[in-house]
Amino acid sequence: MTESTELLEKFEELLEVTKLCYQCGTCAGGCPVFRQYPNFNPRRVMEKLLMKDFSEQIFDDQQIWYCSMCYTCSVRCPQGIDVGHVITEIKNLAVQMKNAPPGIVAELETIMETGVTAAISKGIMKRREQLELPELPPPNLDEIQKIFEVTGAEKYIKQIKEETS
Amino acid sequence: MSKFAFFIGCTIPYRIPFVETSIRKTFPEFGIELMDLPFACCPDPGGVQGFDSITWYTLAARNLCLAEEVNLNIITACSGCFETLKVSNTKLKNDTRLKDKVNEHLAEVDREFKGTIEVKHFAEVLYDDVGIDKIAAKVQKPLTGVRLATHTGCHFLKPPEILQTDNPESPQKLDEMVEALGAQAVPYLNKLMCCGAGTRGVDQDTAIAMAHEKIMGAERAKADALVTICPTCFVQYDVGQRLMAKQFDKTKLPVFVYPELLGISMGMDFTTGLKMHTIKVTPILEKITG
Amino acid sequence: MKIGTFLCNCGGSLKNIDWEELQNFMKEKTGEGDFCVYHENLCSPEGKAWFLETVNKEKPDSIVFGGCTPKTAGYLFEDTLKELNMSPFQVVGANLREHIGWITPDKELATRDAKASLLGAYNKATFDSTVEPHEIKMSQEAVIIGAGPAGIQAAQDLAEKGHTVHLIERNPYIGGNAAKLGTFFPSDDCATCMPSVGIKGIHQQGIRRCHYRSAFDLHPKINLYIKSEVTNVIGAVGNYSITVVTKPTYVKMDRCVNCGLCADVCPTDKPDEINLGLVSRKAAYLPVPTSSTTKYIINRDECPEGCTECSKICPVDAIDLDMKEVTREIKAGGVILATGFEEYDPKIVEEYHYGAPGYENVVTQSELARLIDVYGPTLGKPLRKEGSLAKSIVIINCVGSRSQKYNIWCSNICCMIGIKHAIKIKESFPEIDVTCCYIDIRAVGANYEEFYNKARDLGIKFIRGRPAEIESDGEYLYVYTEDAQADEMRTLKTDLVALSMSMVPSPGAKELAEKLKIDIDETGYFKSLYSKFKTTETKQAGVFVAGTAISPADIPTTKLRGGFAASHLDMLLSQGTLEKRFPIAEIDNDKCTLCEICISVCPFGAIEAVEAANPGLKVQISPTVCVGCGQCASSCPVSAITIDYYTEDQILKQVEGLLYDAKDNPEPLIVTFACWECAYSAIDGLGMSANYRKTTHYTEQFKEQVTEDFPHNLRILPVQCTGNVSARLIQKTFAMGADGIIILGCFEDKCHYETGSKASSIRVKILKAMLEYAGIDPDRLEKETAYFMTSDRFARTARQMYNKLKELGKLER
Repeated sequence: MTESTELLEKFEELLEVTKLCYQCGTCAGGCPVFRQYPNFNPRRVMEKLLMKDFSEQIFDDQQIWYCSMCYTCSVRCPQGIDVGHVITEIKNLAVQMKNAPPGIVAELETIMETGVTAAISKGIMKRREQLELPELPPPNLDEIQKIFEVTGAEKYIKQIKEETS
Repeated sequence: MSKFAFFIGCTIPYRIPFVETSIRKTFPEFGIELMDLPFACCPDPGGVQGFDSITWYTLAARNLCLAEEVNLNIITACSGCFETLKVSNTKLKNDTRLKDKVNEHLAEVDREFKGTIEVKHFAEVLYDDVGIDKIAAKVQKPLTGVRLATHTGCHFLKPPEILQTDNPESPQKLDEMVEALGAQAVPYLNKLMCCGAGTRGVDQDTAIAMAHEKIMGAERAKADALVTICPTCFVQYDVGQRLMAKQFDKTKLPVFVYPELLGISMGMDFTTGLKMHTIKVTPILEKITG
Repeated sequence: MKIGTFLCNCGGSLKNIDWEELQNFMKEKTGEGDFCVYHENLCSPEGKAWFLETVNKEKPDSIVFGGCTPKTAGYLFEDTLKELNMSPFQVVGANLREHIGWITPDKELATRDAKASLLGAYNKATFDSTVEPHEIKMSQEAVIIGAGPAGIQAAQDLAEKGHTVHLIERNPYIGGNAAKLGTFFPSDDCATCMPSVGIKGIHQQGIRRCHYRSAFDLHPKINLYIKSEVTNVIGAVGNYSITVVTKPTYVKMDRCVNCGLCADVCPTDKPDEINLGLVSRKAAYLPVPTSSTTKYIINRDECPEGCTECSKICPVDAIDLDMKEVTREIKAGGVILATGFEEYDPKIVEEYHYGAPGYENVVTQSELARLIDVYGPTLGKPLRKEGSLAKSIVIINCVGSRSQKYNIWCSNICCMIGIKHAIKIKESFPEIDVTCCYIDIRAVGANYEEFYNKARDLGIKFIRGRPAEIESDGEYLYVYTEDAQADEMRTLKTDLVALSMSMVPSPGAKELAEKLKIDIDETGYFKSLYSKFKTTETKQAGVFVAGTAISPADIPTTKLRGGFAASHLDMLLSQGTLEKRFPIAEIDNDKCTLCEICISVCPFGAIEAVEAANPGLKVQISPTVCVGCGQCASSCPVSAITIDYYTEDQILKQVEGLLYDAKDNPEPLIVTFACWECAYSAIDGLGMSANYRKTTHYTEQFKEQVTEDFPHNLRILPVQCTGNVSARLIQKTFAMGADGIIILGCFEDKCHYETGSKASSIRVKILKAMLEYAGIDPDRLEKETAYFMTSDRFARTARQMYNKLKELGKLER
């Protein structure tokens, strides 16, 4: 468990938001992921926070990344807790603790290097021609890369890749 | 004529460009002028927001700055882009601390977020600004007898207090837009459920299983096709059905993004683009024309 | 004024006070005619006799009593004072025991504080505080609003006690929600029995009898007005004038024999709202057949123009189509609000799609109750809307309750209602699959847990998980819920879903509260005066609340509340004349500038601006409603309002006495204004605790923790409410020599005068800012709250202030 005070502060903030949870299970009942994959249960994530269980477990296994960010839990929670946002915050913390699925890291890298998420293949350029679509103005890659640098995202990507290699 | 900065996103131009065609062909008919700007990825409200929120806000703010420079509101073609840009725009306008932090980063690339423009999804523009009546008036080949399962999706609707587009528990707008074309919007189980795209990055099998639930619901309700307003949902359902065949029984439910159907009902020829769908749309085209 | 001071040494036990020095001090400080005497044990029979003798001989105008706390002395000498024909407000107490003798061991310090206390009390006693009792002659009649279980219970009880009761009911039937519920849990009794308890002979025969038909409305003392509402209320306890508007039923209740011929010939068809529109009724109909007093009524606005078929066919001449609306002025001594509750609108919880097309089989519990009532539209069969018998039913609990988004409270009875319905269905139709989705099962009453066991015994399934959504495919309903115990997702395919809706106050509760000048709390329910044991009383002496109008409750509690309210109203009214023998506020209209601040400030609505000849309006304080707290007095910018015994001059004179040694006492002096209710008792509690701890043997390990050094130099005086301590008073107290001031009052949400403590907190906050601006350390002034059981809060504040003042030094004047 990290001793970083900044992370502990972040947890305290999350606790403030989650303390009204009484584990009713509405979030789980509406969660499209839980329906297919019982290992991801938003109610259990909230339980861990309520029990102040900040063990590495939430971050280590990749379960937290299963959330599809549909916000159904946030909209339905009878206590008005923004569960989706809490899960996003935990994902952010996992990254800072050098943990993220390879698929996500790859996506970030692609954006950092090309400015877009999808690979621009020759095949797709041909299709655009067939469809008589205009050429799109390319984004300023220097700006994109600089932003990744100053926000620290580039550092996180590097750290995670080092951890996993 | 209303002019917008056209936020096309990544998925449409570089994965399903036929959707871009349908938008560029149909929107001018309703007085919507689209201007292309050197936008980058919005960025993705699933992967990037989950990775680091500040990076997400900053990259989004950079895109917003481009539109601010030319003083144009943004119209998005994708729901994911819509959520990213509208949530960022709204939060940065209202949270001074967040705005200052983001502008600190933007200063390194000589940019500053000012909060002078608005962000809209194309479905909002069509429903709220253009109006159902005007859409219906342009229909030449009504989609009579066509049963459509509408999928409004998540990022268009939620978080509702910021996006304020439609009722997340009972969205009506896409249904009405589809009915304006002469088709029937059928009720079906799992109508409000997420397409599952957000889980693709970590576990594709689970993501596909989620999409499969939706296809099942639509088929049970005997829908002729599924219609969405988001390219990511489209890919989940269209390309997705091919992947689904690995785990489940094969299905061949045609999938559309709304502007395609709009154009078809307006009598436009989208043959080239429609051939690029993974699931063949010929059965439904026959129903419309035949 | 001749003032006599009586000192008592509590049986000689207060050895740390120099009693002789005290007497010398009083002789020195007081006037020629005054006297000061000492008795070792004044409350003993000999002491009291001596006291009587002395007072009769010396005939003082006021008395100062220096000894135990006036809270005790007050009742010890109540009879004696009555014998002497003296009012308790001719006596001023100096608390030498609890506040000084029991707390300060050092003789010099204790005696000095005792002198201050005595002189302060003496100074207060120099004012003439003859408090004239205010008499209110009370009407013996009662008005009860709401004829549900609570209202009926109250009506019965009051009628049996001889009061004339006016029972006002909005619906055309009595019994409220209970009339439509079929049976009650856990005993499975008929819900119709409760309103039908016949008055005559119920207790005489020593055995419980069936009362499905009773003579409730024929009781000579009960006047029942159905289809009636209260439109206006004037007056206060003892003398209310209540305007009741009764809409016509077009049926003479005393002639109708319930034959139903009028309904037979009636041409109009309307959906029966009481039976959820499943069946239709005529414009002439019987609203709730199971209710004992119900008769046919006619909704004339639903009739075709000019139709009089019912009137023609009625064999007993019971129909009067020319019946008019009647407005009555009813005079009563007190009012009981028993307006009950209704179900929260299920449409608000959108994810369950109540009322949407395709979701006709999503119903509420009260609707399900109609479906399983043998006298209901389906003769007790749980049928789906298209007519087939449901094969499966899912019950969803906590819909709209326990939620920050909807209603924050738990509605108390829905768990049990759900279980009751589940059991009823399962017992009559064992083949029906019944599942209950819950967050917690609250089975708190007698035999409730056993009832829950019975449900599970019958094979009813319980899933812990609050359903996220209900979907419909046109034929079946799909309930999506987590099964939290199994950590699995469940999709329940079912025929019927029953929602246990949250319970909210009946519509119109807020308006009635305004008319009667009582409060509603954040939940919208009426606010009880004191939830511990004054549940059915309110801040207005003549207004009571009963039943579920207070909060959701089961039938036993509802009936108890009805009986409790009736009992208290009877106790009040049977006094005949209510005597208020404590000081109340008086206004000097010559000084009054008509700013009306006092009107806004009074939480009891005791002050009004009324029409007067000159200058056109006059501020009037009702002696009936005023409780003498003084919040008005302290807010008045021109000091036009005074309250005997606690006038500003009187309090300041007492302070002067308390600070007699301000000039030569090197120690900091802290004046404590303690409200007479919670605060004074809290300080007494510290003394009581200090004293008995002397005799209790603590083991070594506790000794360090429980030793306390309580600050002396606390100069304490009571006020009736901290809300009466004005800014002027505080500033003048500093000017007179106080180095620090503590205002000690009730907890803000427990203030005995509703808003006084909160008002004083605001005042202190503003004054602290002003003190700082004037260069005076704001820590010299504190507001603290405490009650008897939390006296440690005062001890802590007093110690902290004392230490701070030692640092800051004496206040320079």
